[in-house]
Amino acid sequence: MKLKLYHILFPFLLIVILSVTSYIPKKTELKIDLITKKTAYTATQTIELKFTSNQTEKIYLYCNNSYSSTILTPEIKNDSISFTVPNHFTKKTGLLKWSLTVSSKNVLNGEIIITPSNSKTHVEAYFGPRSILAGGKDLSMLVVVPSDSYDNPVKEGTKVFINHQFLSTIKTDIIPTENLIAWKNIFSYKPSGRILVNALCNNSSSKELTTIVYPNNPVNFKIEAQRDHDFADGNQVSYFITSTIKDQYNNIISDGTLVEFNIKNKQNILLKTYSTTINGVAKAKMLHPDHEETWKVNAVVPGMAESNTVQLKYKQVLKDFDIEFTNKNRTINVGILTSFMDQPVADGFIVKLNLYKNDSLIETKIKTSYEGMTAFKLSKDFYESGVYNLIIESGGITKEFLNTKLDE
Amino acid sequence: MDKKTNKYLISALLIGVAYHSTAIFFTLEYTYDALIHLFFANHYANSWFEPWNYSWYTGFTVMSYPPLVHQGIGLLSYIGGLKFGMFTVAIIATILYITGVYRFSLLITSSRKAAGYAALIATFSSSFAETLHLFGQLPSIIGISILMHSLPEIYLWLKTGQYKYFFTCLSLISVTVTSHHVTPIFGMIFFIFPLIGMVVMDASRERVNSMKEVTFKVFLSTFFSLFKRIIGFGLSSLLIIIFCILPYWVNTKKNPITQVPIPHGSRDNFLEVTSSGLVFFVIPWGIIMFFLPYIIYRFYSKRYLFFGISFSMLTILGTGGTTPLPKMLLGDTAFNILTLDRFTLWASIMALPIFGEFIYRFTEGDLKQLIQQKYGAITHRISGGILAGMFLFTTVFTMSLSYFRPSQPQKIKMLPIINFLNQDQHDHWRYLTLGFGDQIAWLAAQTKAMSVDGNYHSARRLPELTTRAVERLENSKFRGIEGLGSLQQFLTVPEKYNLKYIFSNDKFYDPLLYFAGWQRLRQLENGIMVWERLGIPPLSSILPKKDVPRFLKIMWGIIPVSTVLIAFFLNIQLMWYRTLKLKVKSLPVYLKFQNNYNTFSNKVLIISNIWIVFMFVVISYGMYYFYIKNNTQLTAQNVIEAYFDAIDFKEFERAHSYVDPKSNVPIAQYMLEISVTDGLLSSYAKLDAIKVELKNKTKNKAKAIIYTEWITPIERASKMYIYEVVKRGSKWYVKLPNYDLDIPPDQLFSDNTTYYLNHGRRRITTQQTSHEDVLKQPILEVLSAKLVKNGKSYSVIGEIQNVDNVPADIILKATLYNDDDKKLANYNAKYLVKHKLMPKETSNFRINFEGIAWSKTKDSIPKTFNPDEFTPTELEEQPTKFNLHCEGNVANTDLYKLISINDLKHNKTHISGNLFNTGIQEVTIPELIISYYNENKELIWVDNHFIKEGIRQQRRQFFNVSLSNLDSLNVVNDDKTFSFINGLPNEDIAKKVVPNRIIGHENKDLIPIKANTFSFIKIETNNYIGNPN
Repeated sequence: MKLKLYHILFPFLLIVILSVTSYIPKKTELKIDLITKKTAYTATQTIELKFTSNQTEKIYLYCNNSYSSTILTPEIKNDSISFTVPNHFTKKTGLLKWSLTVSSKNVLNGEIIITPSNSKTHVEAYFGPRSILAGGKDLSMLVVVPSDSYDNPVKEGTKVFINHQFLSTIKTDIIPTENLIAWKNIFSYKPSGRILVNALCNNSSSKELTTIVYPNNPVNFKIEAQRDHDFADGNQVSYFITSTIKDQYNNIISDGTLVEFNIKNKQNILLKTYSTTINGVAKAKMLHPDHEETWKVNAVVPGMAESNTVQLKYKQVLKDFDIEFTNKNRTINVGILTSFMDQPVADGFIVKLNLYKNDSLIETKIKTSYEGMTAFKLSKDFYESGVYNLIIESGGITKEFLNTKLDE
Repeated sequence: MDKKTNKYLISALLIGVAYHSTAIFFTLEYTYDALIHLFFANHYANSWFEPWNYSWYTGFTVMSYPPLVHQGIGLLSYIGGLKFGMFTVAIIATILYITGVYRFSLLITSSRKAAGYAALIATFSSSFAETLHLFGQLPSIIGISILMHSLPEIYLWLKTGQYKYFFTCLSLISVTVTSHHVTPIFGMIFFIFPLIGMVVMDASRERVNSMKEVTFKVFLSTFFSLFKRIIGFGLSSLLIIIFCILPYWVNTKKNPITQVPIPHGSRDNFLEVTSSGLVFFVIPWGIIMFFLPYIIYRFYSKRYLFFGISFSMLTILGTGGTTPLPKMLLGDTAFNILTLDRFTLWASIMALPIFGEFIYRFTEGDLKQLIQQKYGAITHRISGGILAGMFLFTTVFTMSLSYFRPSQPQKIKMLPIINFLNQDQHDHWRYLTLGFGDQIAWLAAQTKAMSVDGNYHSARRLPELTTRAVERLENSKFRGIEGLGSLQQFLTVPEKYNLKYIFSNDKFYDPLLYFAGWQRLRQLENGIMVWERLGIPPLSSILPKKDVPRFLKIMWGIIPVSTVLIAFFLNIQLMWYRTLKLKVKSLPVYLKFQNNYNTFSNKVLIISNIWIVFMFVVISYGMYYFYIKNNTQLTAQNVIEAYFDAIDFKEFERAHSYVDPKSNVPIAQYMLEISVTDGLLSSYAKLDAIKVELKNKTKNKAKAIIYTEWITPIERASKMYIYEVVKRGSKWYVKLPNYDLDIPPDQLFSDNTTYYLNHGRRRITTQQTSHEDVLKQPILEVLSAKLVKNGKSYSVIGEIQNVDNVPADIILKATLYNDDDKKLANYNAKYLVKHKLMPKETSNFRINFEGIAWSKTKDSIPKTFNPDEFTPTELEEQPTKFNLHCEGNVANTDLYKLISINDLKHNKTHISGNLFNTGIQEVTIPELIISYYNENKELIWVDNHFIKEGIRQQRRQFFNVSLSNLDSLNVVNDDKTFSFINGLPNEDIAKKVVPNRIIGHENKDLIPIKANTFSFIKIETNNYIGNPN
């Protein structure tokens, strides 16, 4: 039984082995070799890959670089086949990988390195921020991207000359490109001004780029007051003028910087006026008070700088004034209100009349003077006859007329 | 019946076309609606099959309005431009209307002469003139005209059962529905139902010997015999209505109109709002009003009974809010959605056949004989003359109403605006127009730039618009609180809508724009001021849209025009041949039912006469009442009201005529005193309410305490005045109060200022701005920021400083989060910040979280007007954290800071003092920003106060401000870690730019006030300059 099985299996196995071995030699017939041995090119140089092959059917070359991939069909001459890599692949620097496929099978692989061409270098540069602060701590960064005329970054380590100018100094730094770019931080100087930069690579220059160096934050300063007279006439303007406000590096601060002027009066109430600087000087204005007053003035740039405090005294202009009751006390003429040289006060001087009846305020009438005079009329249609308390205020002087009788 | 051409119809057509087509060139562009239709037409002309339109409301679909008229204009625009298309369609509408009235009248009266007269009257009818020349409702006119054309066909189908009539009437109904959707729906009820009634009545009449024998029983049995045809017609027309504008119905279903109803004059009580009464009642009725008894008498005869009922319903519905009946008939919802003027229009059109009949009988029929018999021939002629005169008067008055009371601003030259939008990629942002009226549609039709606004309110999509009764933002001042409230939200958070440019034709809005952070760019050569907001991102290149299936687009593009073509082929021979009698045809059956025009009822004549006399009495009383109400100096009260009215309308000469002649103020002096006052109240306010309280009144004198309420763009302002009034002779006069006699210190003075200019891009190029031309954003620093809760609403307050060396325009945006970092709300700073900061300037700010007003509480919309009304956002959860994004952009305008604070006095509740203008610009509206600090000088609250009067140079302005009550205030979070400047953390910037900051320096000097809830205050000023020198 065993013998019998062996006898059947043996011829069968023999047939299988023979058929397999007879098949293998057919497959090994394909023979392809790369003829082109060059693997380094410069950009735009023609790349032609030549192969010898005993088969010309179903052969394709697959190409791939960092931008894209493509499949090329061969040109066939006798027993050699060649592939021409298209222009848009040869223009780009970097690694170009290829693989040859025959009947959809990968048979050969290779790599080509394309280096930047020596054509004219184009220098692209970016510089920012566009403005920085003086003092040496703030900086603008110049980033330079030199490239060949096909927009390929130049070779790693290509020297880039970075120039910058500030006032009378012009400095050059030589920075080799690294990771496709060259860059430099340009720090501000102590003075304010303007930094101009450019970058040179292979004798090509970038555009001129600039950053403004603005003055740094202001430091404490001084103020003084200026006025035409020291009378509290309510119709004159006092000026508060700062010294030239500078930063710690002695730069005059930017025009337009707002300076707040705080004025404390005798009641410790804060009054305010504002001004912006020109050439570091701010000149604020304030209307004179209309009564005796002492102002303590100081100026601040909030959070950064402040000035000394200046004390200003304003003298009372109104010493006294006449009040005349006519028309059964119903017309009250006030004045003449005289100023410091006995001239009538300027028009618009405020006179207040507080009218009380039975200790309660009925009405406050405010009038402004005209040629030093003003008048209150208490019409009998509105103020019935009776006893009133009248209090008249003007220029810090208060006059009381108690128990004034208004008649029909 | 003669077969000759109807000379009345021919003359009506000739006169009508000549008259209306000449007039439309002067009226149509100034109407409310015409330009909207033009805009839609432009849409179809450019993209016939694509219903999505990006130009308005951040995108909307034109499937929200039946397209036929728009597509018609669009097609014609290929020949001679959009306006050519519009005028041509208007002329076609006129022809259709006149012929339609003729056919309808012929159907009703069965008299060619009466119908001819009706056509003539229709030509001059005031309701038509108003609809076309004042409202510009082209689709509505075409809809009703075609409907009138379809009525005889419907009659013939129902009466004869011939299928050709079935198809002709359905073809006409399909044209009606594609031009105006409301017309066939209501037309069914008000025109076709009574017509069916009349057909049944006529058929019943044929069964018996006389009209008297037509009993209800006969009527009912006839009705059932015709029932199949009626149902057949009813169902097929319903199908037609649904099918022809199926995309419209689909769209309505998908995007139901959920908006708050917009107030419309036609819903007013016409006795209270007389202007609405004039426009929506008196004018459309016109002369027909005088002949109502005759019309009602005729309509309630047995044959027309159903028309009578329909006519009465229309008349009642047209009275709007005058009687409660329309609201009861329609129900609240329909009453608030429908505009009721259309009912009056239809009623007046329905009255035309009968009125035509009346005129026929008056001019050459039995009425003429009766009058001549009774009163003599002269009376007849004179009354004829009066009738014609009144008729012409109403027509001419209607046509020229827009001349006397312009409904639109002056025509604006659009070219400079279009050029501006095309320039420099300005159309990459959205724009908004203010004070353009309906001309915004014309602008939108000409530019590819997009607007957040629009003029077709049914298509509004943004909740900011739909939750309020705001037709459009453009005229928001007329919509009071809701209008300005909506507008403010758009202006405060413009980046949400990519809104960068505003074209303002109305300086009323200027303060609102300024205080919301906008700046003037320049004035275009047509006088339009361009406002701009800095730091707004441009629109993305792909915008969202709601797409619809392709078959709907194809239906929408093809069906409407096809309906016209089909109707044209089906009807042309019938309509043309019959009306113009080019070919002899058999008489239509309705001409059998002729009326007897031999004996005019004497009773009717008498009643008519009484009615006419009554009408004259009513008119005379109205005039007398008008006179009394306007007699301005009859009482002390009247003169005060008249004086303020004159001031409000800037009619200073009239105002001066109310001034006490004995006060010796000549007009020249008065004008001088008035002209020097500028400010919120005198330049940007409208008097809203006035209450006069007279005190100490004697026979000849009184003291008036006048409480006035003013609408201003930024807030509702109230001011109290005390005036004395005197009586001289029989008239009352106002005594002028004293004005400030203050004279400025210097005659001539100088001031030095720093000016800034930003070139934008330095190279002229269509490319993107080069990176070298992009300025660095100014650096800001947040000095403090807190989340506080005051009462029920949350706010973020704080202090910010421009630490850069250039002036900055700042945008502050705060976002609230809860403990789980869930975003709850965000909003921008509106009025409570100085939007423009000089280098190193600080500003305190408060950001309120404004919700979309009344989105939840629709019923409680206040009736009074307050633009500054604040609706806090409804937060789902408790906010506990916040972040603050600050953005700076280089500013170069509105940098005036020269206001000093003088002479302060205060108690616990008030602070008063005066502001003195030290510089050379007149400040139009000064704003005080008042900050409150606790005893540790920590900021706890920020508030503001607009001063009502301006400050002239070197002058002072007094103020008295009540201080806030901070009882219910508490600070929720004072961690400013999450503050960002131009996208970078505030802390990092602060360390780098101001490393040696003097901490608390900005709060070192404050005004101490001993109040219960705060210890110090600080006052800052923000100055709006209306007219920079």
